[in-house]
Amino acid sequence: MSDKQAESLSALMDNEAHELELHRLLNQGQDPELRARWSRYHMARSAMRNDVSSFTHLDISSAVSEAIDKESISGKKSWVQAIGSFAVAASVTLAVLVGVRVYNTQLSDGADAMAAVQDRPAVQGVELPAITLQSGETFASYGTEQSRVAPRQNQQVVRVVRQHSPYAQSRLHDFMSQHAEQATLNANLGVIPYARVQDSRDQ
Amino acid sequence: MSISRTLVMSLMWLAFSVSVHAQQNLSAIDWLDKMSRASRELDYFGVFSYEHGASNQTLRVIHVVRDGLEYERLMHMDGEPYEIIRKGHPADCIHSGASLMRSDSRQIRRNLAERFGADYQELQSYYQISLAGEERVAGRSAVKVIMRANDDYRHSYILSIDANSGLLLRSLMHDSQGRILERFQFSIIAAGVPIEAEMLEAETSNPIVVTNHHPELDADATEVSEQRLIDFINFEWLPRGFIKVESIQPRFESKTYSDGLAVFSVYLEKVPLEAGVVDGWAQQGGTMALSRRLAAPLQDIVLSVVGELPLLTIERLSAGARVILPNGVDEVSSKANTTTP
Repeated sequence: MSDKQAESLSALMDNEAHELELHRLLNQGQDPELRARWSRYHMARSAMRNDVSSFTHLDISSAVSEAIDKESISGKKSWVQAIGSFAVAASVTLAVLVGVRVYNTQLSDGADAMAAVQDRPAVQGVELPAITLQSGETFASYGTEQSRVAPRQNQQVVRVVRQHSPYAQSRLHDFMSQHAEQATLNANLGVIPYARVQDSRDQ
Repeated sequence: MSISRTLVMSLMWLAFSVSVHAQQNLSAIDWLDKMSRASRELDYFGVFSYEHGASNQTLRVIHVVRDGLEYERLMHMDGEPYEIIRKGHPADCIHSGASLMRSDSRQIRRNLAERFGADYQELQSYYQISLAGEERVAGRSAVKVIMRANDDYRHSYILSIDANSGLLLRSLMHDSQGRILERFQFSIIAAGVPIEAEMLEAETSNPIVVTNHHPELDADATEVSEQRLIDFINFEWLPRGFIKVESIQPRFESKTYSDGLAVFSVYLEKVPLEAGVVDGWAQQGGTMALSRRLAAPLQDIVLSVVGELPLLTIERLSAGARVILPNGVDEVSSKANTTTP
Protein backbone atom coordinates (compact mmCIF):
# COMPACT_ATOMS: atom_id res chain seq x y z
CA MET A 1 0.00 0.00 0.00
CA SER A 2 1.48 3.30 -1.12
CA ASP A 3 1.64 6.56 0.78
CA LYS A 4 -0.65 8.03 -1.84
CA GLN A 5 -3.32 5.45 -1.07
CA ALA A 6 -2.96 6.06 2.65
CA GLU A 7 -3.33 9.76 1.99
CA SER A 8 -6.45 9.23 -0.11
CA LEU A 9 -7.91 6.96 2.55
CA SER A 10 -7.28 9.55 5.20
CA ALA A 11 -8.90 12.21 3.01
CA LEU A 12 -11.91 9.95 2.49
CA MET A 13 -12.24 9.55 6.26
CA ASP A 14 -12.37 13.32 6.56
CA ASN A 15 -14.89 13.64 3.75
CA GLU A 16 -12.29 15.53 1.77
CA ALA A 17 -11.46 12.93 -0.86
CA HIS A 18 -11.63 13.96 -4.47
CA GLU A 19 -13.89 11.88 -6.71
CA LEU A 20 -10.86 10.47 -8.53
CA GLU A 21 -9.32 9.38 -5.24
CA LEU A 22 -12.55 7.67 -4.25
CA HIS A 23 -12.59 5.72 -7.53
CA ARG A 24 -8.99 4.68 -7.10
CA LEU A 25 -9.66 3.43 -3.60
CA LEU A 26 -12.76 1.48 -4.67
CA ASN A 27 -10.82 -0.16 -7.50
CA GLN A 28 -8.19 -1.30 -5.04
CA GLY A 29 -10.78 -2.37 -2.48
CA GLN A 30 -9.50 -5.95 -2.45
CA ASP A 31 -6.12 -4.96 -1.08
CA PRO A 32 -6.11 -6.55 2.40
CA GLU A 33 -3.83 -3.94 3.86
CA LEU A 34 -6.07 -1.15 2.56
CA ARG A 35 -9.14 -2.85 4.01
CA ALA A 36 -7.42 -3.38 7.34
CA ARG A 37 -6.43 0.22 7.51
CA TRP A 38 -9.94 1.37 6.58
CA SER A 39 -11.30 -0.71 9.40
CA ARG A 40 -8.65 0.60 11.80
CA TYR A 41 -9.42 4.19 10.86
CA HIS A 42 -13.09 3.67 11.51
CA MET A 43 -12.45 2.02 14.81
CA ALA A 44 -10.14 4.80 15.81
CA ARG A 45 -12.63 7.47 14.74
CA SER A 46 -15.50 5.83 16.59
CA ALA A 47 -13.33 5.55 19.66
CA MET A 48 -12.36 9.17 19.47
CA ARG A 49 -15.99 10.23 19.13
CA ASN A 50 -17.03 7.98 22.03
CA ASP A 51 -19.42 6.43 19.50
CA VAL A 52 -18.71 2.80 20.49
CA SER A 53 -22.28 1.44 20.49
CA SER A 54 -21.80 -0.77 17.45
CA PHE A 55 -18.52 -2.09 18.79
CA THR A 56 -19.55 -2.71 22.38
CA HIS A 57 -18.86 -6.41 21.93
CA LEU A 58 -15.28 -5.64 20.89
CA ASP A 59 -12.37 -4.63 23.03
CA ILE A 60 -11.97 -1.27 21.35
CA SER A 61 -9.24 -0.05 23.63
CA SER A 62 -6.93 -2.96 22.91
CA ALA A 63 -7.62 -2.80 19.16
CA VAL A 64 -6.93 0.92 19.10
CA SER A 65 -3.78 0.60 21.18
CA GLU A 66 -2.62 -2.17 18.91
CA ALA A 67 -3.22 0.01 15.90
CA ILE A 68 -1.40 2.87 17.57
CA ASP A 69 1.47 0.58 18.50
CA LYS A 70 1.79 -0.54 14.90
CA GLU A 71 1.75 3.03 13.70
CA SER A 72 4.44 4.08 16.11
CA ILE A 73 6.65 1.10 15.22
CA SER A 74 6.37 1.75 11.49
CA GLY A 75 7.05 5.41 12.13
CA LYS A 76 10.08 4.77 14.34
CA LYS A 77 12.93 7.08 13.46
CA SER A 78 16.37 5.84 12.57
CA TRP A 79 19.23 6.86 14.86
CA VAL A 80 20.40 9.32 12.21
CA GLN A 81 17.04 11.09 12.34
CA ALA A 82 17.11 10.98 16.13
CA ILE A 83 20.51 12.67 16.24
CA GLY A 84 19.27 15.14 13.66
CA SER A 85 16.35 16.20 15.80
CA PHE A 86 18.61 16.41 18.83
CA ALA A 87 20.93 18.70 16.87
CA VAL A 88 18.02 20.92 15.88
CA ALA A 89 16.81 21.07 19.47
CA ALA A 90 20.31 21.85 20.67
CA SER A 91 20.77 24.63 18.15
CA VAL A 92 17.45 26.15 19.15
CA THR A 93 18.65 26.15 22.76
CA LEU A 94 21.91 27.71 21.65
CA ALA A 95 20.03 30.38 19.71
CA VAL A 96 17.95 31.15 22.78
CA LEU A 97 21.10 31.38 24.90
CA VAL A 98 22.76 33.65 22.36
CA GLY A 99 19.62 35.77 22.26
CA VAL A 100 19.74 36.16 26.02
CA ARG A 101 23.45 37.01 25.83
CA VAL A 102 22.83 39.73 23.28
CA TYR A 103 19.87 41.17 25.12
CA ASN A 104 21.86 41.22 28.35
CA THR A 105 24.33 43.53 26.76
CA GLN A 106 21.62 45.93 25.69
CA LEU A 107 21.12 48.95 27.83
CA SER A 108 17.71 50.48 27.82
CA ASP A 109 18.77 53.85 29.16
CA GLY A 110 17.20 55.80 26.33
CA ALA A 111 18.11 59.27 27.54
CA ASP A 112 21.81 58.66 27.54
CA ALA A 113 22.01 55.56 25.45
CA MET A 114 24.40 56.63 22.77
CA ALA A 115 27.21 57.29 25.21
CA ALA A 116 26.29 54.78 27.88
CA VAL A 117 28.48 51.73 27.53
CA GLN A 118 29.57 49.13 30.00
CA ASP A 119 32.82 49.41 31.84
CA ARG A 120 34.94 46.49 30.83
CA PRO A 121 38.67 45.94 30.81
CA ALA A 122 40.51 45.08 27.63
CA VAL A 123 39.46 41.60 26.57
CA GLN A 124 41.33 39.36 24.20
CA GLY A 125 39.28 37.06 22.03
CA VAL A 126 35.73 37.15 20.77
CA GLU A 127 33.52 39.55 22.62
CA LEU A 128 30.15 40.92 21.73
CA PRO A 129 30.16 44.67 21.33
CA ALA A 130 27.98 46.62 23.70
CA ILE A 131 24.78 47.41 21.88
CA THR A 132 22.43 50.06 23.11
CA LEU A 133 18.85 50.31 22.02
CA GLN A 134 17.54 53.83 21.70
CA SER A 135 13.96 54.93 21.94
CA GLY A 136 14.08 55.89 18.28
CA GLU A 137 15.35 52.46 17.22
CA THR A 138 18.86 53.72 16.82
CA PHE A 139 21.51 51.16 17.54
CA ALA A 140 24.86 52.42 18.61
CA SER A 141 28.05 51.18 20.10
CA TYR A 142 30.82 53.37 21.36
CA GLY A 143 34.26 52.41 22.48
CA THR A 144 37.52 51.45 20.89
CA GLU A 145 36.82 48.47 18.69
CA GLN A 146 39.63 47.29 16.54
CA SER A 147 37.28 44.73 15.06
CA ARG A 148 35.95 47.63 13.06
CA VAL A 149 39.21 47.73 11.14
CA ALA A 150 39.14 44.02 10.37
CA PRO A 151 35.44 43.18 10.45
CA ARG A 152 35.67 39.73 8.88
CA GLN A 153 38.18 38.31 11.33
CA ASN A 154 37.03 36.13 14.18
CA GLN A 155 39.77 37.35 16.44
CA GLN A 156 38.55 40.64 17.76
CA VAL A 157 40.01 42.90 20.35
CA VAL A 158 37.27 44.86 22.03
CA ARG A 159 37.85 47.51 24.60
CA VAL A 160 34.81 49.35 25.83
CA VAL A 161 35.29 52.28 28.14
CA ARG A 162 32.69 54.06 30.20
CA GLN A 163 33.06 57.52 28.86
CA HIS A 164 30.54 59.97 27.55
CA SER A 165 31.01 60.93 23.97
CA PRO A 166 29.69 64.46 23.55
CA TYR A 167 31.26 64.41 20.13
CA ALA A 168 29.26 61.46 18.94
CA GLN A 169 26.07 62.77 20.45
CA SER A 170 26.26 66.21 18.98
CA ARG A 171 27.93 65.40 15.71
CA LEU A 172 26.09 62.40 14.33
CA HIS A 173 22.83 64.26 14.07
CA ASP A 174 24.59 67.17 12.37
CA PHE A 175 26.33 64.82 9.97
CA MET A 176 23.08 63.01 9.20
CA SER A 177 21.30 66.32 8.48
CA GLN A 178 23.98 67.50 6.12
CA HIS A 179 24.11 64.07 4.54
CA ALA A 180 20.34 64.28 3.98
CA GLU A 181 20.73 67.42 1.88
CA GLN A 182 23.41 65.82 -0.29
CA ALA A 183 21.30 62.67 -0.56
CA THR A 184 18.21 64.64 -1.61
CA LEU A 185 20.11 65.99 -4.59
CA ASN A 186 21.94 62.76 -5.43
CA ALA A 187 19.78 59.76 -4.49
CA ASN A 188 16.76 60.30 -6.78
CA LEU A 189 14.46 59.29 -3.92
CA GLY A 190 12.58 62.57 -3.47
CA VAL A 191 11.72 63.38 0.14
CA ILE A 192 13.09 60.18 1.71
CA PRO A 193 16.50 61.53 2.79
CA TYR A 194 14.93 64.25 4.94
CA ALA A 195 12.34 61.89 6.37
CA ARG A 196 15.29 59.90 7.72
CA VAL A 197 16.54 62.80 9.83
CA GLN A 198 13.42 62.77 12.02
CA ASP A 199 14.52 60.72 15.00
CA SER A 200 17.88 62.35 15.41
CA ARG A 201 16.50 65.75 16.31
CA ASP A 202 16.00 65.00 19.98
CA GLN A 203 19.38 63.46 20.54
CA MET B 1 -28.85 61.80 -23.66
CA SER B 2 -27.84 58.61 -21.96
CA ILE B 3 -26.37 57.25 -25.18
CA SER B 4 -24.17 60.29 -25.65
CA ARG B 5 -23.10 60.07 -22.02
CA THR B 6 -22.15 56.43 -22.49
CA LEU B 7 -20.28 57.38 -25.63
CA VAL B 8 -18.35 60.10 -23.81
CA MET B 9 -17.57 57.72 -20.96
CA SER B 10 -16.37 55.08 -23.41
CA LEU B 11 -14.19 57.59 -25.21
CA MET B 12 -12.73 58.76 -21.91
CA TRP B 13 -12.07 55.20 -20.87
CA LEU B 14 -10.48 54.52 -24.24
CA ALA B 15 -8.27 57.59 -23.95
CA PHE B 16 -7.26 56.55 -20.42
CA SER B 17 -6.44 52.98 -21.40
CA VAL B 18 -4.48 54.20 -24.42
CA SER B 19 -2.39 56.50 -22.22
CA VAL B 20 -1.82 53.73 -19.68
CA HIS B 21 -0.91 51.38 -22.48
CA ALA B 22 1.57 53.90 -23.88
CA GLN B 23 3.21 54.12 -20.46
CA GLN B 24 3.39 50.38 -20.15
CA ASN B 25 5.85 50.37 -23.01
CA LEU B 26 8.38 52.22 -20.89
CA SER B 27 11.30 50.14 -19.68
CA ALA B 28 12.39 50.00 -16.04
CA ILE B 29 15.23 52.39 -16.89
CA ASP B 30 12.74 54.81 -18.48
CA TRP B 31 10.64 54.73 -15.31
CA LEU B 32 13.68 55.54 -13.16
CA ASP B 33 14.47 58.43 -15.48
CA LYS B 34 10.92 59.69 -15.13
CA MET B 35 10.96 59.26 -11.35
CA SER B 36 14.21 61.18 -11.02
CA ARG B 37 12.69 64.18 -12.80
CA ALA B 38 9.20 64.08 -11.25
CA SER B 39 10.14 64.64 -7.60
CA ARG B 40 12.16 67.68 -8.57
CA GLU B 41 10.11 69.28 -11.35
CA LEU B 42 6.46 68.74 -10.39
CA ASP B 43 4.13 70.58 -8.03
CA TYR B 44 2.63 68.12 -5.56
CA PHE B 45 1.48 67.66 -2.01
CA GLY B 46 0.74 64.58 -0.02
CA VAL B 47 0.99 62.63 3.20
CA PHE B 48 3.41 59.77 3.63
CA SER B 49 4.71 57.45 6.29
CA TYR B 50 8.32 56.65 6.99
CA GLU B 51 8.98 53.51 8.98
CA HIS B 52 12.06 51.75 10.26
CA GLY B 53 12.12 49.12 12.97
CA ALA B 54 9.41 49.98 15.49
CA SER B 55 9.45 53.65 14.55
CA ASN B 56 6.74 55.01 12.28
CA GLN B 57 6.36 58.66 11.39
CA THR B 58 3.75 60.42 9.30
CA LEU B 59 4.84 63.48 7.35
CA ARG B 60 3.22 65.93 5.00
CA VAL B 61 5.08 67.34 2.04
CA ILE B 62 4.40 70.29 -0.26
CA HIS B 63 6.67 70.72 -3.24
CA VAL B 64 6.46 73.46 -5.84
CA VAL B 65 8.68 74.98 -8.50
CA ARG B 66 8.41 78.78 -8.76
CA ASP B 67 10.54 80.73 -11.25
CA GLY B 68 12.59 77.60 -11.80
CA LEU B 69 13.46 77.25 -8.11
CA GLU B 70 12.39 74.41 -5.87
CA TYR B 71 10.48 75.02 -2.66
CA GLU B 72 9.69 72.15 -0.34
CA ARG B 73 8.03 72.09 3.06
CA LEU B 74 8.11 68.94 5.17
CA MET B 75 6.01 68.75 8.33
CA HIS B 76 6.09 65.95 10.89
CA MET B 77 2.52 65.11 11.85
CA ASP B 78 3.33 63.18 15.06
CA GLY B 79 5.01 64.34 18.23
CA GLU B 80 6.57 67.77 18.57
CA PRO B 81 5.91 70.01 15.57
CA TYR B 82 8.98 69.76 13.39
CA GLU B 83 9.24 71.49 10.07
CA ILE B 84 11.91 71.50 7.39
CA ILE B 85 11.87 74.02 4.57
CA ARG B 86 14.15 73.59 1.59
CA LYS B 87 14.28 76.37 -0.92
CA GLY B 88 16.27 77.97 -3.70
CA HIS B 89 17.59 74.96 -5.53
CA PRO B 90 17.20 75.29 -9.33
CA ALA B 91 14.91 72.49 -10.48
CA ASP B 92 16.90 72.01 -13.67
CA CYS B 93 20.24 71.69 -11.89
CA ILE B 94 21.14 68.02 -12.07
CA HIS B 95 23.68 66.78 -9.59
CA SER B 96 26.08 63.98 -10.45
CA GLY B 97 24.19 61.41 -8.38
CA ALA B 98 20.92 62.35 -10.08
CA SER B 99 22.55 62.22 -13.50
CA LEU B 100 23.29 58.51 -12.99
CA MET B 101 19.58 57.84 -13.25
CA ARG B 102 18.82 60.05 -16.25
CA SER B 103 19.16 58.62 -19.71
CA ASP B 104 20.43 61.77 -21.44
CA SER B 105 22.98 62.56 -18.71
CA ARG B 106 24.16 58.96 -18.70
CA GLN B 107 24.78 59.19 -22.43
CA ILE B 108 26.96 62.26 -21.89
CA ARG B 109 28.86 60.51 -19.10
CA ARG B 110 29.38 57.48 -21.30
CA ASN B 111 30.72 59.61 -24.14
CA LEU B 112 33.07 61.53 -21.85
CA ALA B 113 34.33 58.32 -20.28
CA GLU B 114 34.98 56.83 -23.73
CA ARG B 115 36.82 59.92 -24.91
CA PHE B 116 39.06 60.20 -21.85
CA GLY B 117 39.39 56.50 -21.14
CA ALA B 118 37.82 57.01 -17.72
CA ASP B 119 35.98 54.34 -15.77
CA TYR B 120 32.22 54.49 -16.18
CA GLN B 121 29.76 52.00 -14.73
CA GLU B 122 26.17 51.74 -15.89
CA LEU B 123 23.47 51.66 -13.23
CA GLN B 124 22.58 48.17 -14.48
CA SER B 125 26.05 46.84 -13.73
CA TYR B 126 25.62 47.19 -9.97
CA TYR B 127 21.82 46.91 -9.71
CA GLN B 128 19.73 44.28 -11.41
CA ILE B 129 16.81 46.41 -12.58
CA SER B 130 13.49 44.89 -13.55
CA LEU B 131 9.81 45.73 -13.92
CA ALA B 132 7.54 43.70 -11.64
CA GLY B 133 4.07 44.54 -12.87
CA GLU B 134 1.53 47.09 -11.75
CA GLU B 135 -0.06 47.69 -8.38
CA ARG B 136 -2.16 50.22 -6.56
CA VAL B 137 -0.54 52.57 -4.06
CA ALA B 138 -2.17 55.62 -2.43
CA GLY B 139 -5.23 55.03 -4.59
CA ARG B 140 -3.18 55.37 -7.75
CA SER B 141 -1.96 52.99 -10.37
CA ALA B 142 1.75 52.36 -9.89
CA VAL B 143 4.55 50.54 -11.66
CA LYS B 144 6.82 48.36 -9.58
CA VAL B 145 10.55 48.53 -10.27
CA ILE B 146 12.91 46.18 -8.46
CA MET B 147 16.51 47.24 -7.99
CA ARG B 148 18.41 44.29 -6.66
CA ALA B 149 21.99 44.94 -5.59
CA ASN B 150 24.52 42.88 -7.50
CA ASP B 151 26.90 42.81 -4.54
CA ASP B 152 26.79 42.92 -0.73
CA TYR B 153 28.11 46.47 -0.62
CA ARG B 154 24.74 48.18 -1.05
CA HIS B 155 21.07 47.61 -0.24
CA SER B 156 18.27 46.64 -2.62
CA TYR B 157 15.10 48.61 -3.31
CA ILE B 158 11.57 47.90 -4.39
CA LEU B 159 10.12 51.07 -5.87
CA SER B 160 6.52 51.81 -6.79
CA ILE B 161 6.32 54.67 -9.24
CA ASP B 162 3.10 56.54 -10.04
CA ALA B 163 2.09 55.49 -13.56
CA ASN B 164 0.74 58.95 -14.24
CA SER B 165 3.18 61.46 -12.74
CA GLY B 166 6.29 59.37 -12.25
CA LEU B 167 6.45 60.29 -8.55
CA LEU B 168 7.84 57.71 -6.16
CA LEU B 169 4.86 56.43 -4.16
CA ARG B 170 6.49 53.66 -2.16
CA SER B 171 9.99 52.48 -1.47
CA LEU B 172 11.20 49.46 0.47
CA MET B 173 14.89 49.20 1.25
CA HIS B 174 16.14 45.77 2.22
CA ASP B 175 19.49 44.21 2.99
CA SER B 176 21.08 41.13 1.41
CA GLN B 177 19.23 38.88 3.91
CA GLY B 178 15.91 40.35 2.81
CA ARG B 179 15.31 42.28 6.03
CA ILE B 180 13.34 45.47 5.41
CA LEU B 181 15.40 48.39 6.71
CA GLU B 182 13.04 51.21 5.86
CA ARG B 183 9.62 51.66 4.35
CA PHE B 184 8.42 54.86 2.76
CA GLN B 185 4.89 55.18 1.44
CA PHE B 186 2.50 57.88 0.38
CA SER B 187 -1.02 57.35 1.69
CA ILE B 188 -2.43 60.29 -0.23
CA ILE B 189 -0.89 62.45 -2.93
CA ALA B 190 -2.04 65.07 -5.41
CA ALA B 191 0.19 65.97 -8.33
CA GLY B 192 -0.19 68.68 -10.92
CA VAL B 193 -2.85 70.56 -8.96
CA PRO B 194 -2.72 74.28 -8.14
CA ILE B 195 -1.10 74.94 -4.76
CA GLU B 196 -2.20 78.02 -2.85
CA ALA B 197 0.48 80.49 -1.75
CA GLU B 198 -0.48 80.11 1.94
CA MET B 199 0.28 76.40 1.79
CA LEU B 200 3.92 77.34 1.35
CA GLU B 201 4.12 79.38 4.53
CA ALA B 202 5.77 77.95 7.62
CA GLU B 203 3.41 76.69 10.32
CA THR B 204 5.88 76.63 13.16
CA SER B 205 7.83 79.55 14.55
CA ASN B 206 11.26 77.95 14.17
CA PRO B 207 11.40 75.73 11.10
CA ILE B 208 14.71 74.35 9.89
CA VAL B 209 15.40 76.27 6.72
CA VAL B 210 17.86 74.95 4.16
CA THR B 211 18.56 77.62 1.58
CA ASN B 212 20.29 76.01 -1.30
CA HIS B 213 22.54 78.45 -3.08
CA HIS B 214 25.06 77.06 -5.45
CA PRO B 215 28.72 77.89 -4.82
CA GLU B 216 29.06 79.49 -8.25
CA LEU B 217 26.06 81.71 -7.52
CA ASP B 218 27.46 82.61 -4.14
CA ALA B 219 29.29 85.94 -3.95
CA ASP B 220 31.35 84.68 -1.02
CA ALA B 221 32.48 81.57 -2.85
CA THR B 222 36.08 82.75 -2.98
CA GLU B 223 36.33 82.54 0.81
CA VAL B 224 36.12 78.77 0.64
CA SER B 225 39.28 78.57 -1.44
CA GLU B 226 41.52 78.12 1.63
CA GLN B 227 42.96 74.65 2.08
CA ARG B 228 40.66 72.26 3.81
CA LEU B 229 41.41 69.01 5.57
CA ILE B 230 38.84 67.14 3.50
CA ASP B 231 40.81 67.84 0.31
CA PHE B 232 43.52 65.46 1.52
CA ILE B 233 41.39 62.38 1.91
CA ASN B 234 41.23 59.57 -0.60
CA PHE B 235 39.63 56.14 -0.63
CA GLU B 236 41.79 53.15 -1.46
CA TRP B 237 38.57 51.35 -2.33
CA LEU B 238 35.09 52.39 -3.47
CA PRO B 239 32.14 50.10 -4.15
CA ARG B 240 31.42 49.69 -7.85
CA GLY B 241 29.60 52.61 -9.47
CA PHE B 242 30.12 55.21 -6.74
CA ILE B 243 31.21 58.63 -7.96
CA LYS B 244 32.09 61.78 -6.08
CA VAL B 245 29.33 64.37 -6.19
CA GLU B 246 29.30 68.10 -5.57
CA SER B 247 28.94 69.22 -1.96
CA ILE B 248 26.68 72.19 -1.56
CA GLN B 249 27.43 74.67 1.20
CA PRO B 250 28.74 72.09 3.60
CA ARG B 251 28.60 73.13 7.22
CA PHE B 252 31.26 70.51 7.94
CA GLU B 253 34.20 69.43 5.86
CA SER B 254 32.85 66.56 3.84
CA LYS B 255 32.87 64.68 0.59
CA THR B 256 29.83 62.86 -0.76
CA TYR B 257 29.62 59.87 -3.11
CA SER B 258 26.63 58.31 -4.84
CA ASP B 259 25.80 55.35 -7.07
CA GLY B 260 22.56 57.02 -8.19
CA LEU B 261 20.51 55.56 -5.35
CA ALA B 262 22.72 55.01 -2.32
CA VAL B 263 24.70 57.97 -0.97
CA PHE B 264 27.45 58.19 1.60
CA SER B 265 29.35 61.14 3.04
CA VAL B 266 32.71 61.25 4.73
CA TYR B 267 33.51 63.90 7.34
CA LEU B 268 36.84 65.01 8.75
CA GLU B 269 37.09 67.15 11.81
CA LYS B 270 39.73 68.15 14.33
CA VAL B 271 38.67 66.93 17.76
CA PRO B 272 41.05 67.28 20.73
CA LEU B 273 41.84 64.08 22.61
CA GLU B 274 40.18 65.52 25.74
CA ALA B 275 36.83 65.34 23.95
CA GLY B 276 36.59 61.70 25.00
CA VAL B 277 35.62 58.57 23.14
CA VAL B 278 34.62 59.16 19.56
CA ASP B 279 35.07 55.70 18.04
CA GLY B 280 31.92 53.74 17.39
CA TRP B 281 29.01 53.22 15.09
CA ALA B 282 25.30 54.02 15.00
CA GLN B 283 22.45 52.73 12.90
CA GLN B 284 19.04 54.21 12.25
CA GLY B 285 16.89 52.40 9.74
CA GLY B 286 18.98 52.12 6.62
CA THR B 287 21.42 54.82 7.67
CA MET B 288 24.70 53.68 9.13
CA ALA B 289 27.30 55.96 10.69
CA LEU B 290 30.79 55.15 11.87
CA SER B 291 33.41 57.36 13.50
CA ARG B 292 37.05 56.67 14.26
CA ARG B 293 39.95 58.72 15.45
CA LEU B 294 42.86 58.57 13.05
CA ALA B 295 46.06 56.97 14.26
CA ALA B 296 49.14 59.00 15.27
CA PRO B 297 50.42 61.39 14.14
CA LEU B 298 46.94 62.44 12.95
CA GLN B 299 45.26 61.51 16.22
CA ASP B 300 43.59 64.90 16.54
CA ILE B 301 41.46 64.15 13.45
CA VAL B 302 38.20 62.20 13.58
CA LEU B 303 36.86 60.53 10.45
CA SER B 304 33.16 59.73 10.13
CA VAL B 305 31.38 57.90 7.34
CA VAL B 306 27.58 58.24 7.11
CA GLY B 307 25.43 56.57 4.50
CA GLU B 308 22.61 54.24 3.50
CA LEU B 309 24.94 51.29 3.15
CA PRO B 310 25.62 48.04 5.02
CA LEU B 311 28.02 48.21 7.97
CA LEU B 312 30.43 46.04 5.99
CA THR B 313 30.74 48.75 3.33
CA ILE B 314 31.00 51.60 5.81
CA GLU B 315 33.73 49.69 7.67
CA ARG B 316 35.68 49.02 4.52
CA LEU B 317 35.38 52.65 3.46
CA SER B 318 36.47 53.86 6.87
CA ALA B 319 39.43 51.48 7.00
CA GLY B 320 40.43 52.32 3.44
CA ALA B 321 40.24 56.10 3.82
CA ARG B 322 43.69 57.66 3.55
CA VAL B 323 44.47 61.13 4.79
CA ILE B 324 47.80 62.41 3.52
CA LEU B 325 48.61 65.99 4.47
CA PRO B 326 50.57 68.16 1.97
CA ASN B 327 53.73 67.70 4.07
CA GLY B 328 53.51 63.94 3.52
CA VAL B 329 52.28 63.14 7.02
CA ASP B 330 49.76 60.29 7.13
CA GLU B 331 48.68 57.54 9.47
CA VAL B 332 49.97 54.64 7.42
CA SER B 333 52.99 53.78 9.61
CA SER B 334 50.95 53.66 12.79
CA LYS B 335 48.02 51.93 11.11
CA ALA B 336 50.30 48.93 10.52
CA ASN B 337 50.92 48.76 14.26
CA THR B 338 47.28 48.69 15.22
CA THR B 339 46.35 45.89 12.85
CA THR B 340 48.95 43.45 14.22
CA PRO B 341 47.33 41.48 17.04
